[in-house]
Parts: sequence; structure tokens; C-alpha cells
Amino acid sequence: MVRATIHYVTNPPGPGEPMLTYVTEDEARSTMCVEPGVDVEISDVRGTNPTLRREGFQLVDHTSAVPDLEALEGDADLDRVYGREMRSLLRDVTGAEAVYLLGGPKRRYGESATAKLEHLSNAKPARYVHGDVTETSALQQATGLASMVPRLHLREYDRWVLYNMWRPITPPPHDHPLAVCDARTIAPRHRVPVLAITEIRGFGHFEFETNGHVADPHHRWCWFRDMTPDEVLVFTTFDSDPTRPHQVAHTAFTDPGCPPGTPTRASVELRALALWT
Amino acid sequence: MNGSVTGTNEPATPPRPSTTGPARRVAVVGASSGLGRSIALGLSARGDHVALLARRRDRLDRAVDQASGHAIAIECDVTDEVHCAAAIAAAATELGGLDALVYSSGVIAIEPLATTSAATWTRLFATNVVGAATATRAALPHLRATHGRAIYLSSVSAQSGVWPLLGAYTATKAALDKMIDTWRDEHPELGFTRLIVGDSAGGPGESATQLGADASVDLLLTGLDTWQRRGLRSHGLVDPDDLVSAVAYVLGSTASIPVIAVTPPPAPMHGAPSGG
Repeated sequence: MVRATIHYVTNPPGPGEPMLTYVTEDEARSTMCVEPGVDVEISDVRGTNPTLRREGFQLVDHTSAVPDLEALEGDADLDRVYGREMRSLLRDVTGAEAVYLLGGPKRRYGESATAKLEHLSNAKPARYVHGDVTETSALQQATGLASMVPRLHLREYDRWVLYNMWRPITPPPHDHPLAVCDARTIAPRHRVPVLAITEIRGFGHFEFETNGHVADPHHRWCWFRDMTPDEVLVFTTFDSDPTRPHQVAHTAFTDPGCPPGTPTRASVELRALALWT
Repeated sequence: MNGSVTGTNEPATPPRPSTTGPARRVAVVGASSGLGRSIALGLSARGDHVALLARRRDRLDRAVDQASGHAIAIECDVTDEVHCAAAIAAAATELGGLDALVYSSGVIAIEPLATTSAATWTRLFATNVVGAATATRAALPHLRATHGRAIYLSSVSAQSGVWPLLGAYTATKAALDKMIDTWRDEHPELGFTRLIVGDSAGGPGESATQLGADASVDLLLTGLDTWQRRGLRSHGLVDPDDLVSAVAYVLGSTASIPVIAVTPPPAPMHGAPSGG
């Protein structure tokens, strides 16, 4: 267990007020306020085997054939190799009938990695408790993807789920590990839609809805201490089946126990749509 | 390096007779996934003898396993001139000649021009344009021997409108189109055809184009949203079976067809009579 500060939405809008914003490349322009932070206990659940079915997240051993994971999102051939691996992993772990990737791998770095971040968009870890999508943006993403796949009609499936597959690409210890919230402890009424606005360099802006949260002492926060690049944390970001874990809120946090001078954490994530009839 | 060959000479199910005469010998380049795979399997099912050429051996073998007619797999890297020429030669040898070349290899990048690197430009041109030139050059003597046909998959995005975030890709397809027209002019004894493909993401299952891996989720969704808002996207996707029919039509025609297009069906009209 570790005690650390995490950040919830502290200014949820009242009825009729505009949706809060989170500007990924210039957080000072965000209307969302997440101060002051909240000290919480984050349990190391390594060894307790959380599952996608129960908590909404699961740790999976996987060694990638990609020799240098930092080369992802920059080498199209490696991205494809990694994509095929993760598609196969998700099929195996979930038993889904079909899995489609939602874009390629995305690298993220702690804020101190300025030289790395300079060449990437939306690549800092999000420092607020969030779910990757709202109901609206989940449907937008799933239908957008389905519109690119021949003969794929979501209505022909009984269940569709969006997943995030997250892997550190630097060895432990990590200064900014990922904390995940047991989906069973999340009350829908504590979700606050937040419009993330991210810069597409050289083009414009891209907006998508995420779920922020207000603080809730019932949230059970978990992490896997010392994750290695040979481990993938798979978690649900939207499940159309109301009897299943709906969404795992998550946030990067600063581990107060990480030795000073440790190189900042880097990670790679990939999102996918899984389907069942 | 020589292209290596495997194949099924005993089809899983009897092939349907060709609708346009005797079996044609066709090399499909870029046949391990996407539209190339759909075309290769479709021609094979129609009774043509098909060589499937692509880089990825495992996927080629799986495609050949699914072919209902005569099909062989030959590894081919179109960005390696020597390897590509050897693979085309191997296809001609294995099939006993070559009546047609179908070039469907293509890579895409979804990215603003402001961040598109020289490496990305080079990668796209290497496969989409130079690879097509290399494969054609290698196939030329075989096609001349049969008065054969060459068909290239081009894109509607190079024909109409401006597609932001696809600048490098559409430039390669426009270059490909110009190159095909020149081949056609320099070799009137052969048939060179541009097959313009509308909105498409390949065929079902393994034939689906691996588009997901080619952009970050942000760029992919930005692209989809932008193209939709600008009215560039069609109501649906090209049916891969229609594409097979178009290729078969060109191959079976005595006329040399410069351009043929396959686009998705139009959106249904509001208020259209529902019958009676």
C-alpha cells in the first residue's frame, strides 16, 4: 500500500453550466479545476489477481517481439507488429469474437521528459481521475471505427467493449505509476463529463469527451508495484453490458517512495474495440 | 534472393468456371491483406490461377489456405527491386506465364503535412509508386508475351476534393495515376487500367485493411470527423465483391480500359417510396 495525492474535479458545473474542459497541451487554459488534491490509499494488488470481469482490470504477462518499445509511434512496421500482438492478446484475455484496434500505439512520458515530449502530441500522463470516454464519445469512437470496417455493424453484436492496454516501457521503479479504480466502487453520479481538447500539431484541435470524477471515499484505488515492460495492464474503458464493470477510472500519481533521480516513467498504450454476439 | 513459393494445387472446393473463358494467370501484389487479398481470393474462386504476392509469409499462407481455386503464395517485398523482380519471375514460372498483374500494395499515413517526415514520404512513395513501377517492369516481358493486362488500385481521394491528414497518401496515388497513364502510352500493346476505389477498408476478417495501426487514436478520430464534416466520406464502404467483379471485367474485356471506378452505393433518399 502507498499513500499518494490524486486529483479529482473540484468544480463540477451546476445544471445548465457548460461542460468543463481539459486542454492537454496547455493545462492553465482548462476550466476544470482539480486542486486541492486528495490523499488516498493505493493498494498494491499484485498477487490478488484482479480480473476484467470483477474489478474491470487485469494484469497480463506479455513479452513483445518489438525489440525497442520506445521506437513505437514512429516506426509504422513496428506499430503493426505491436498492434497484431495486442489484438491477439486481447482476444485471448477476453474471448471476444472480434477485436479492432482504435489507432496505433501511443507513447507517454512524465512531464520532466521535455526532449521526448517536444515531438509528441497529447503525450503527458493525465493527472486527473478520469475514464477515457463518456457514453457519447464511446459510441462516437465505436461507430467511427465500425464505419471503416466492411460489413461491421455494431447493432449485430450483443455486446461491445472499449479497452485500454497499458504497458510501461521503462523498467521499475516508476516515478509516476498508474493507479486504477476498482470499477465496482465507482458511482455513476460522481462522474463529471470533461471535454478534452488536444492539439493536433500542424492541423488544429481535436475534442473528445472524457469522464472526470468528484472525490468519493468509496473509491478503491489499486496499482501494481514495479510493473515491467513485460506486463500489460488491460482495463475496461466502456462496456455496453450493464451487468459488467462499466469503466475503470484511472490516473497517474507520484509515488512518494520512488528514489530521487529515477528516470521518468515512459509507457505505451493501445485502445481497441472488442465485440461479442 | 529468389521468391519462395508454396501453393495449393488441389483446391478445397471445385472452382467455379471462369465467366469469361479459360483460366487466366494472375499475379496479385499486396495480397496478404486488404483489398488485394479480397481480389486474389475472388479471382481464384472465379477459376483464375492466382499467385498471391506480399511480404508477410504467415498471412499469405493463410490466404492461400482459404482460396477455393488454384492459388500459390510467393513472398515479395516491393520495396526491394531485386527481390520483387525475382518474385514476379517466380510467379510467371509457377503459373506457366502471366496474363495479368494486379498491383494493390499500398500504405497510408494519417498525419498533417506539417509533421510528416521525409521518412514517411519515402516509405509511402516506395510502396505506392516505386513498388508499382518495379513490379510492372518485372512483369513487362511476361505480359508482352500474352498481350496481358495490368491493373492498379488507385484511390478516389486522389480524384476529388482535398483530404486533410492524407496529404502524403493522396500525393502518392496521384503520382501512381500519372505513371499508369504513361505506361499505357508507352506500351499500347498492353492494357493498363487505373481502378479507382472509393471509401474502403478492405474486406471482412483478415482482408480488413490494417488501418488502425497507421495513426494515433487522436489522428484517426480527427480524420474521420474532418472527412465526415467536409462531406468527403461516402455513405458506406466499397463492397469487396464489386471490386472483384470490376477486376474480372477488365481482365475479360477485349478492350483496353484506361479507368474504372468502384464506389460505395449512394445513401438512400429520404422519403423514397418503400414499394408498391
